[in-house]
Amino acid sequence: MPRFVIAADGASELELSIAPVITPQSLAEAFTELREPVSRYLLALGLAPPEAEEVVQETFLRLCQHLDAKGPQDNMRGWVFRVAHNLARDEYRRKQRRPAEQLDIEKASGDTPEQQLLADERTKRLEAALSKLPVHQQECLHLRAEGLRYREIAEVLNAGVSTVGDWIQQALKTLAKECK
Amino acid sequence: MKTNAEHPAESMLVLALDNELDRQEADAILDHVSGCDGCRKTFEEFRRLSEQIVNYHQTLRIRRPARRHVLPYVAAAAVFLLATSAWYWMKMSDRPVTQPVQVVAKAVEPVKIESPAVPAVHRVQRRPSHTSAVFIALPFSDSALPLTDARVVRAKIPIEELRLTGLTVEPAPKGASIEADVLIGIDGLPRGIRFVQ
Repeated sequence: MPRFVIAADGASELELSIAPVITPQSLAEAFTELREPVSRYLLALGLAPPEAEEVVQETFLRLCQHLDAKGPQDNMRGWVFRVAHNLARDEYRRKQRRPAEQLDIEKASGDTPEQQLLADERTKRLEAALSKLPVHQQECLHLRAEGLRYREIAEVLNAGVSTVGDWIQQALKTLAKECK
Repeated sequence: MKTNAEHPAESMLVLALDNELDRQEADAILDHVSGCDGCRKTFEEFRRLSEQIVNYHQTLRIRRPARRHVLPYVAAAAVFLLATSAWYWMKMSDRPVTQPVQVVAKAVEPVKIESPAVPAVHRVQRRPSHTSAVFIALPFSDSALPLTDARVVRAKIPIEELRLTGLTVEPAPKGASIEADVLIGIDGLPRGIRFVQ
């Protein structure tokens, strides 16, 4: 957030922060921008669509309360993904299952049937390979696929940035072997 | 962070792929990758897998049937609006184009305007008048619209109100008013004015 700092000579100068700040007024904008990426992340983690939708709603409700109570929030995207991630974990614990086989996910495609068949085959192999990875590596790859930087992923997963780099590298190495 | 003197560690390849290195480090890695078959193969494999995961994510959507049902209605509304607009513009283009000066001339005609169609409150006894010959176009009036169905209403208008219309008005005592014929367009907005007194 921009802050005025009194310089030594008494004149005021503007100091700009690095992280973007989103105010409650732009909450609707944040919802529009982040709703789909967060939904995709939750679905990729294996949440069933109704649960994913519920988690998304709960996440933005909490964001609203948070902004109301504490004012502007730095790194909104990281905050939203972290809350959604923690809610998804709670959901797992509550249900004690990973309902990947119950997914009712719309898989949009404009390909021909043959192309669709090949794509489905590739997707199945990828899903199978991903599911064999340790959970934290899966989470890293899914967050990365939604465009989060390592710093943000580290914040979501409560880990170090270099650890995140190692997990991603190990995950890609394993996937390369599995998908050959 | 090289595994040996020549090849960078795989973790460095991933960092370069994800733009997590500074420019100098990234350039060094990419230079090496472009000249080393083994590292290029690994780098390309990591990139292919990363793209595959992103593409996989793009296929994930929560079904939202309600939104699908709305689409036909939105499309129908858009078609209706387009059709209505086209009809309106065709109708308008059939009418003769009226220049602002002609608007004034046409507006002079309606003597019958003080017929029963005019609300009683605005009806004023005809009296020998010193009316100006033509209506003066009000500054904010839109001359592009036709005035074939215009009406004239005679009314007493406070001088201050006249000033608000943008007309230049001589200074007058507070509360003073003037009798005038006001030309009302089909849209219900005043277009011109003709002073009686």
